[in-house]
Amino acid sequence: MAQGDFNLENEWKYLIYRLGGELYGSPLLSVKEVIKVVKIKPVPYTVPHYRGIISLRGNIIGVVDLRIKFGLAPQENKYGGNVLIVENDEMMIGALVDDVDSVMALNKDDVDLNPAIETKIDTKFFIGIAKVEDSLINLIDIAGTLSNEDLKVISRNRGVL
Amino acid sequence: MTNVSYKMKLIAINFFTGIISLYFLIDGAINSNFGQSFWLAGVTLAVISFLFYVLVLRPMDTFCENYFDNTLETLEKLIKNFSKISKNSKEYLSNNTKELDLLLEQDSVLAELNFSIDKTLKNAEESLSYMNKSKNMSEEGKRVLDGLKEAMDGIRGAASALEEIISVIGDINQKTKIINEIVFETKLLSFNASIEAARAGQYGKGFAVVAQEIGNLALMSGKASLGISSLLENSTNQVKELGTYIQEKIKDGERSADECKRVFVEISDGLPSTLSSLDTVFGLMRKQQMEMERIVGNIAKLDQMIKRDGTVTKEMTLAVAELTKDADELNEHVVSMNDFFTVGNIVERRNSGQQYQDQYQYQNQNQNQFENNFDNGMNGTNGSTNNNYNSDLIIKDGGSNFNQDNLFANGGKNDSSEVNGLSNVEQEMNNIEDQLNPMKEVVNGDNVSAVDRAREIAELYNKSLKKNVDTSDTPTANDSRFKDNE
Amino acid sequence: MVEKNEKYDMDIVKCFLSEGKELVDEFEHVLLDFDKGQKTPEVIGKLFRMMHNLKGASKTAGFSRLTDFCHSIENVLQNVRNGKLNPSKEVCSSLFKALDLLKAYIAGIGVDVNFTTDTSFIEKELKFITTATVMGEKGDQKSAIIMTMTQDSPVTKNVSTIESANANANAKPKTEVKDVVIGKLVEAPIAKIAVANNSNSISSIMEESIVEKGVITEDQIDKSFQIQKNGNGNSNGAGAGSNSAGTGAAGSVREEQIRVGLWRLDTLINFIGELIIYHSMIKERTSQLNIDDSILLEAISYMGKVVKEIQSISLSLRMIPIKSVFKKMQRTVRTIAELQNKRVNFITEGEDVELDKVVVDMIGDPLTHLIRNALDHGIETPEERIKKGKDPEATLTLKAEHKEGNVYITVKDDGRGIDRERVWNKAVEKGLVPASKKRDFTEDEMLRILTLPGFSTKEEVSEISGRGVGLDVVRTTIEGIKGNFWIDSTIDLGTTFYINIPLTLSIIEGMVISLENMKYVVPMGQLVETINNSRYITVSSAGKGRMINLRGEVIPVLDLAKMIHGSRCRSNDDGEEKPQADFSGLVINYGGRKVSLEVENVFSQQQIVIKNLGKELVDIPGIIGGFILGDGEAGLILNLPEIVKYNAHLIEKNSDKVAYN
Repeated sequence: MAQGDFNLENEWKYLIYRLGGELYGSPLLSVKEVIKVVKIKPVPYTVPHYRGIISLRGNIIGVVDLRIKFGLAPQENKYGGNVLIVENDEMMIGALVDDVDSVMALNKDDVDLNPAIETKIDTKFFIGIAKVEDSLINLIDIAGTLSNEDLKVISRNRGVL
Repeated sequence: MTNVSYKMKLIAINFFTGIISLYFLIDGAINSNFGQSFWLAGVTLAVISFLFYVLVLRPMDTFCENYFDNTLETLEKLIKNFSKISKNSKEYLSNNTKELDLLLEQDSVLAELNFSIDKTLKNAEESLSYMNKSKNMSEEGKRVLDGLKEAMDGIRGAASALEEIISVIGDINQKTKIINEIVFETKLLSFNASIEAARAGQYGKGFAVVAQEIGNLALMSGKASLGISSLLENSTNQVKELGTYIQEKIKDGERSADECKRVFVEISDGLPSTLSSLDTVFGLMRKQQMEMERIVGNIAKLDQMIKRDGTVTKEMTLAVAELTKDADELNEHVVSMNDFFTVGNIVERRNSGQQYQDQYQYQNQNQNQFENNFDNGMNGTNGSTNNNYNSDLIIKDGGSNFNQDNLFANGGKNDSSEVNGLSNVEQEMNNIEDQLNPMKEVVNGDNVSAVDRAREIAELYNKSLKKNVDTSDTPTANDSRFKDNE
Repeated sequence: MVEKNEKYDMDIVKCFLSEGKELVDEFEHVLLDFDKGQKTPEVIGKLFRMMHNLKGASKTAGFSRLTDFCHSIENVLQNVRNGKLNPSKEVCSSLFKALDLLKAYIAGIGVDVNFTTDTSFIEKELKFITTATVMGEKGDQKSAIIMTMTQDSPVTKNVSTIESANANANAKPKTEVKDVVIGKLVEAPIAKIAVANNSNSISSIMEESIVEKGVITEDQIDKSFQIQKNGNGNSNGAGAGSNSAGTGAAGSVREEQIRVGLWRLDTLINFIGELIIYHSMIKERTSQLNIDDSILLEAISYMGKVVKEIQSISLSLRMIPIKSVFKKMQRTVRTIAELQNKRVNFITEGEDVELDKVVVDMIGDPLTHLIRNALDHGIETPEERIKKGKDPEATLTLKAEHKEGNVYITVKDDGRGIDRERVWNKAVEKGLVPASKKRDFTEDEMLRILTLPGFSTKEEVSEISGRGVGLDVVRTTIEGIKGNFWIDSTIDLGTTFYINIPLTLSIIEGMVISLENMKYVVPMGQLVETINNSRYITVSSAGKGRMINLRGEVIPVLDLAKMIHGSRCRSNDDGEEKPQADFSGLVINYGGRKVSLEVENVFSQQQIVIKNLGKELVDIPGIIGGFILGDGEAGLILNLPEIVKYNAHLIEKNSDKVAYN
């Protein structure tokens, strides 16, 4: 999904969550479900931000640590936080965040689409920055950023192959 | 120690010998027969009397020095008079009137002595009653302390109840955690509901609002629950603090109470021995008083007899000579005993008397301290340091209490030696009486010649009385007193 | 969609469809045996009876035309039984054709009860056979058939009939379908074109017709293909609906057996898996709490039995014998060998080996391809074979067997073998490998070149195989179901294709172990035994790793945690080495020799429901799948030989030969 797909013409709903003290937001519709963290089982030969697998109602789902993915310090408390279940065209995957804050309706005026900031996040998946009250929210296309390729490419590098 | 008892015996003999010789001195002065020898005997007896004062009256003084001070004064006066006597012995011998004055004066000194003994006795009685009172009080104190301990147990029970409160608060906290969990889940639920609503698009709009509301509710209850949690945490901490504080204080209080009780026990344990010692002393003093009274009475009788009959003089002289001989022997002993009764010893004894008094004050202090301790225990805040200090003090006191025990033991031994001494005195008195009794018989069983001689003596006496009336200001009173005795 | 119909009693029709299908399938199997030489009176009698029954059922249901057709087949069989007719290959071929038409007919009725088709050309053929036999001129049978068919142009007729029956049910763009059909008909295996529920008959007929006669128009194929589409189970409702709307008096019939979507079965198996998990949780908890209630314990124990029963049923629901695939292969072999004038003795072994339905479905295509390959490239013509001093009749073996918890399928021929030089040169020519690196390739690796995409050694594209999309597709398909594929070949002795696939994709018998406090499952089938490593004498020599003497056999000991986590197994959080005695060894077979893998703990053996992992983990080596433990924790199922393989450098040190494949 590219930037243009997000309807910022009108009001659009975002799920706002916290990562390392910062606020992030992703389109509500790209998140399928929010769950609380259960024990994550690590998987060998995977990328560092691939935290492992969890079971969700009888299915096994991989979990990506968004903190590591976005270049933030890893979460100290292993079992805290929420997991956003994200579904994209390829697969279903969990994204570990510190805490889910709220569901927010943003409109065009709230969002700066070309902010002059540096971020580790791929610009392709960086929607912009929303300014709500006093806080800034990084808007991320979470479904796009958690692609299969992203997880696979590096895993090949790290693998024993 | 045998020295002491022997010494006491000698003192007693010397004292009475002194008094009797005083009589003879006066008598001699009146009769102008034995001027020189009576003067010497008078001086010796004065010294012995002084020693008596030091050895018998001063130990008593160690119990209640203040009350003995008067006695001391009186005795000092006595000594002064004795020296006066020795100085003016020639004048006594030559001047009947003057000697009679002296006799009268001596009589008043005896009365004064008697009075101070009375006073001492009274004071000792008072002291005894004080002791008894303090014994009762210390018993009372113990009882109160037991009550205090019971109260402490009660407080401890309250403290454990406090612990129960803590556990209840813990339970509440646990329940709040469940509430938190529910809030958390509700929050997730609202997010998921929002997501579902968004997926439903246009149809989900209404539901989106509901989801939003649920989210808000979750947020609110989350805040409330957080508030409850923090309140609970605070109160748990406070109650815990209070609990430990109370526990600490209870321990402090118990420790103080234990100490106090121990002190009371020591006091009340010490009191009976003190009391018994005092009782003994008291009894002895009473006896002494009785003896004194008897002596005074005897002297008066003697006086009367002397006034009535002059013929016995010769026999009396013999007796007196015998007594004098005894007194000389006594004197030798006294001289040898002077080595023993150095001034230092006397000072020591005085000091130990002071120590006892200090001890007594310490006991009072302890009592105060206990009160302080108790106050501290109840007031608490800076109690523990004070208590430590106090307990140190108490231990010190305990040490001195130990000394006190020693002192009491010593005192007891002294007392027993005094008792021995005094019983010896009594014996000697009896001896004296035994010796006097034949004299009395001689006087009583006299025939007419003896009566005549007595009449002569009486005439002489009357003469000297008449002279005395002319020279002295106070003979009338004395005279009347003698008349009353007649 | 079953509607009331004046002419037919739908209940009876349904019965007929169900029974007819079974009979036809059975008939096919028996006929294959018959064709292979089991020409005993019993087999013939069986065939006859089955056809007779089918005829009866058809009559009862009211399908008079079908009854007639059955009758003509029955006549042939009658003659064979009487000994009037010699059951030659030609007769069998005719019977197969008749069978295929019969299948199509029944399938057609399944879509629309009013379906009819022209069976006359087969009937004529059958009649001809009977007459020819009577005439006693065996040798002419085939030419007679060909003559008959050419004369009557039966295929064209047939197709037209089908077309007319489907006049209204055509919505798909024709050209698109056409391309697919043509392509498939020429190149792909029969199964590929068999989009219909369980009937590939019509396409088979088409294919054979095309191959043999080359007389069929594209348009006709399009149309015939569309009826297949409509016959497909999932779309039959809609198709029949639109169909009957046109005719007004049409009814749709479904077969008696219930088709269940695989996802439904998977869901069921998932839930049963969870049931097992929760049951073991309850069991564990009751023992933990020292519950002493005999009624409860009994109930739990009984529940365990029931749960196991349900599990085995659910497992069997997914498991089907590989037989059906093998039978198809027989047809393929038969057809192609006949076509290429090659004499082949096709042997199948282990037809009863059961595999997961998904695996069986997926294995069909690669197998067909391998068999075509063997026939096309491997097996020589009888003449060539005689020159080489071989038996003119080649042997092609298709074998399935259980081995180490997996199923091994081998396709073995005694043909000309693969010339590695030619393979190499071709690969260099096509730019697949750099010419200079030849020395770096082992013999096995040279053969692996064959599985590279875009490789085909056949100079000309043949009708049967060799389009350049061949072995690479086979390899990808097999690896897609967690299998392995490799080739072994010796010039003039033959070629063997090996396929190694897991038994099932859903449940395995597993051993729960732990590494660094994390639980894993190891398939029981991979284990030879579990030992206490420390109880065996450690033999280690310079340059080689730790080895133990296991009852006279010196085997290497590897640290599984180190291979998976990259850290030592024998250390806890403090980095302290635990006493060796705590560790167990899992002895596995790796490339023909034993290896002991050291693990922290071995817990229990239990049935493990395999959970699919996310796509992102497909390429992670050494992992078969995931599982969910009783406490809801997710875990990984390890593939031990693969892990050892990826850590082969560890074992090379202490073994002279590392052989895997």
